[in-house]
Amino acid sequence: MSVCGLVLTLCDDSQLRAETIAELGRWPQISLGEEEFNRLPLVLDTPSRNEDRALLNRLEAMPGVLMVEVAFVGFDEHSGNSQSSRSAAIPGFPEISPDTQKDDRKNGF
Amino acid sequence: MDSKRRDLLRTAAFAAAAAAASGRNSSSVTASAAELSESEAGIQWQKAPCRFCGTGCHVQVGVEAGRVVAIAGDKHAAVNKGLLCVKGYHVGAALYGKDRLTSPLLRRENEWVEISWDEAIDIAARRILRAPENFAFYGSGQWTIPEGYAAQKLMKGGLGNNHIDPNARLCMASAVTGFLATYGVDEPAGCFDDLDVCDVLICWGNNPAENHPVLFSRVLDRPAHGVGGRERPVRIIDIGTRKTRTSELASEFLLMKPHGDVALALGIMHLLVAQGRYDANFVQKFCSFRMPEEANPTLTGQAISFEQFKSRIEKYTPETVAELSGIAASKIAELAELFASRDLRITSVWCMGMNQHTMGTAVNSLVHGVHLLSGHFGRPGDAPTSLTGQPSACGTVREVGTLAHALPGGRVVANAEHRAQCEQLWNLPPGRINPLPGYHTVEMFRRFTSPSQGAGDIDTLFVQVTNPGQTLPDLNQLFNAKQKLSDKFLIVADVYPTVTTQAADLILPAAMWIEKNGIYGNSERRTQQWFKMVDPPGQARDDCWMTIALAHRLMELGHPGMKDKNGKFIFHMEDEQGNEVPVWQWEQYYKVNVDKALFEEYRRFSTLKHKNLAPYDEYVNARGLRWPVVEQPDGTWRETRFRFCENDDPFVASGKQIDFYHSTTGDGRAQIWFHEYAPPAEIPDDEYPLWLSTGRVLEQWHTGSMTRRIPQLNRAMPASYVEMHPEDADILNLRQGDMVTIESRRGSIDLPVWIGGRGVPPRGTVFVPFFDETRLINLVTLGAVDPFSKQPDFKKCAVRIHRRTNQGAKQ
Repeated sequence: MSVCGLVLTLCDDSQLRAETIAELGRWPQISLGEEEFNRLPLVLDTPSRNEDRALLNRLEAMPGVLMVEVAFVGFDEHSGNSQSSRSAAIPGFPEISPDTQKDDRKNGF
Repeated sequence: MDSKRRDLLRTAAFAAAAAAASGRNSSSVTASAAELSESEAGIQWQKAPCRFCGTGCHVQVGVEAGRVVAIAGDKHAAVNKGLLCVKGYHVGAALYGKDRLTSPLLRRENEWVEISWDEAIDIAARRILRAPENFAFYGSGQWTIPEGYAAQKLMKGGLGNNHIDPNARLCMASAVTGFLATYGVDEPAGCFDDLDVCDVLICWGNNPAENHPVLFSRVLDRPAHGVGGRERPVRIIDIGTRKTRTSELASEFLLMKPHGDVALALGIMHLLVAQGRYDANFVQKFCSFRMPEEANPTLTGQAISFEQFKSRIEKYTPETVAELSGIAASKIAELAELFASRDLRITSVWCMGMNQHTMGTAVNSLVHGVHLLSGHFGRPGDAPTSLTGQPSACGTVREVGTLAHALPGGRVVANAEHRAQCEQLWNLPPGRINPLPGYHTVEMFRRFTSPSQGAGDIDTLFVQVTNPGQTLPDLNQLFNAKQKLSDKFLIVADVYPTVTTQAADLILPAAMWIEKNGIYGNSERRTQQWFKMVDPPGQARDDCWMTIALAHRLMELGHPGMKDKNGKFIFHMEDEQGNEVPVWQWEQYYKVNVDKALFEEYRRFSTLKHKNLAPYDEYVNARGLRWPVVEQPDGTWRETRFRFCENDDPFVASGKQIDFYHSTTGDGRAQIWFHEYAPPAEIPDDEYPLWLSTGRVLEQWHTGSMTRRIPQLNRAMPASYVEMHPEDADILNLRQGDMVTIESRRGSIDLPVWIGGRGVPPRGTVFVPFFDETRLINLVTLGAVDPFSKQPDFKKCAVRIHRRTNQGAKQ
């Protein structure tokens, strides 16, 4: 998740809400939109994918934030390259790995 | 990513977020797919329903240079109003795991050998042809509607073989039987709009905060911004056997014992009747009473009078129900009071907790009965609604009827008139369809994993779009036993390697989601269409093509069932000029829109039970339409939000108010059932002293075969665990993270302990999610099934836990 459009639902306490928005304005990875009722659109732009989850966790943990919802995700060229850590659940059967298949994967990231 | 592209993505991200932020509050739309397209010259945007759960959120998929580069919530989708859950916004990455299956693979002497598609289809066809009656087809609620329809036609219309069943048997079969027993027709009367206007939302044993998060946030939004606004906040009551994220966000959590839901529903009905506070007018006009026959119980049961019903539920006093359910008598009275309040709107939702239950049909029927008895039915916000876990459990399984007993359009194989209707619509010779229901899922696998010389008469099994090697209960018996039987042949079509492909003899690489055309049907009767947007990798191909190619090869090899009564191939397709298109050849498959052709053929069945569908092209421009969809005098097509209600359902005559027009009693009445409480099939004892419940988590979808390939999701929830109550852990001298062996009479696995985790089971209960293929909890679960729906109970069995021994560690 390198570029992400988020919607925060903020608390009803106006002072805490204002403090939260001010605090978010200091985060370099965030571009804030205009608050509508208690909902605040923003863009989260992280240079490293390792940062995105941590930032989301920080957002969720803020006392003025009730909920974090995601409206958009842009993938960078290296996302989605994971292979699950598999084990031979049924002993005696061969594993299937990418090497098993000779075919080139033109569409993979 | 270059800076220009990044700027474009930032602009699109901002537009989508702003639109979503405003979307819950007003009708103003600030971004749409068209606007996204205009702002992103290099990125092409198209709509599709999400690949994961049964909510049916629509996403906008951004494709550039043949690759998915962005996902946005679809502002125009009524279901999700521009928002997605954590899985939904990563759905695009599910296509791009490193280990996609890209070539057909045949097992030879325990080695995988790459073979051609022609050879693979030929091997499968010849294997089936040896004994077509010993072949079974196992699919899922992830089949698209055309895929499921093709599989259904191949089996029942072509082979005359009813051994086709879906994994939905494991997840919502009891919801189906509950609807059939109550209303005579499947699927919810209400829809997601009920969530916007109900005063009370009761979650019966489900955890929507994790498993249907967009729906749950739709409800949570309401006190601040929802349709009801601050003046009508919703009260959420969570009833469950374990505290979950839903419990944390609910107004109230009621902890119940396993099978407590059955007792609770009976207890509420008892109080409504005993206090004379049921809705006598509604009941008198629209309901009858029913109970199971003593011998050979059926879904129609036997009629009982109101007095007999009253007498039967008399013993379910608050005190008795408190003992059976673990819920305090005062809370049972409070719930009855809510249902007795006619000015409130009450929506009940449930999912696996009530369905994966050896009394699944009973408890589904009883909860419908609570709503009917109290008159909480038929007004927006007053609805009993089951949710589904797969994107097309409703569309493909329940509507197309890819079940061992069913035919499309709510028909059943055991009914001669229904068979004749289907044979006529399929242009088949009379008698082609076999009148005997096929094997349901558990029986199908029991016979596949039993020796052919004995009860094992299924010798060839084709699995598409599902992973039974992980999801079946009692895996040692129902799946792993196959490895000892050399005469059994397992064909598996999938996207990634799984524990099921691991046991396969032939693996077919499948296209997924937007690599193919598709149509799904979500939990609220909403039929949703999308187009292929990117090519599948390597030689991966559509499941529907595989079925058609297999049918054609069977025809070439001489199977007579692959032709209709005029001698045409059962999947005969023509172009606009009327020329046959050989769609069994992959190069020709997309020369016509096969999905459209199959859907238009299937659509003729949809009117047979008032589940009318619109023409394919209507779905192209819509974000889904909820059936029945009926053409209006001006040529437009109108969907239905509230079935059986005069003010919305086109099949209810003016003046009738409510009409259950598929009533099992033929008089327009729904059935309020009585079922006697019965204990679970296996109960903890001295030897196995703990309850085991299994389930899902937010970040992983079902068996994790897709979500475990998405780094952001897999990092957040990388491995399975056993949730324990701190006092149970103390007694066993276990600390956080200790490895334990969890063991039942059927099998065991090792897991780390999680105390004070996301969910909090009560004393005496442990919980294990089933997404982790390296730690298969279904080695431990029980194969007992509901007697009507044949759905297993994954929520209750007896286990014991001990610290893992050194020997276990070595294993």
